[in-house]
Amino acid sequence: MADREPEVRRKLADFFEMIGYQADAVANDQDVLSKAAAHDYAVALVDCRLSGDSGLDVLAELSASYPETSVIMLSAEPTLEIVIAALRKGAFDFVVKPFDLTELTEIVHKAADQHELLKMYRAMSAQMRQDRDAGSQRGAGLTKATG
Amino acid sequence: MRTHSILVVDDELLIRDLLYDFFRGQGWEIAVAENGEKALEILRSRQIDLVLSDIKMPQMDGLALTTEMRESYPDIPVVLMTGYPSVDSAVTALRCQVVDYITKPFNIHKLYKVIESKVKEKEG
Repeated sequence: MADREPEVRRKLADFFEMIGYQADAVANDQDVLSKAAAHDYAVALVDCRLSGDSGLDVLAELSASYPETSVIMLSAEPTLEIVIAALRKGAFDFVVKPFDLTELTEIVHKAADQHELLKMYRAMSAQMRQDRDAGSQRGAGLTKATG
Repeated sequence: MRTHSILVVDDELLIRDLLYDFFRGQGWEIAVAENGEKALEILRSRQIDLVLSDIKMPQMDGLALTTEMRESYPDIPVVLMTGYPSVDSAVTALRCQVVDYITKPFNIHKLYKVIESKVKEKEG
């Protein structure tokens, strides 16, 4: 949970802890990136105006380095340019403040599901690649042995 | 190299004709439809690499088409274009996982670069 407003980030982190998530709250972009490097987060809630407009830069960094983390952008003053930039940088969702907590919770649940699906997909793809490589190595060995 | 295919969905005949001529000129296979329902008929009958759709259309608009496609054709990227951009429609587009949101009038060469890069990304 990354928001420069202490009350917002603390309340949201407390709420998501209460409903069963492990939550960390941070105030700036450097802290988001250092936390993300140390934890496998399913979901990141990032305010667009984290420090200046750096929320969108954080989104780009998270999408590139941790593509399995679903990033939900928050904004109290969304403009068309900000939303389009979030879309292009791979945000999972975009929530306008003030938000309905029930609605946000549903979005976070969906984002966490998406994270699980992506992890499963990548693990299965990796396994299939390994099996294929092992199969072609066996084939090469057989050709050598019989040729 | 395989020929790429695009489905253009727009209720404006002029836009459909313009994009048809342009993509044919670039060597692409192109199909056109005037609304979302016609687009779904085409998607059922032939392979399409990317859908470029207007948002505001009669019968089935671009957002409804994208929502339907996320269920039936989740692997086909969608680029939406609109002459009436708004924060609300851009947020809805983001939630529908479109790969880009282009405002009209557009520069056709910039549009082409976006579309070409998205098709290449899909091919991996």
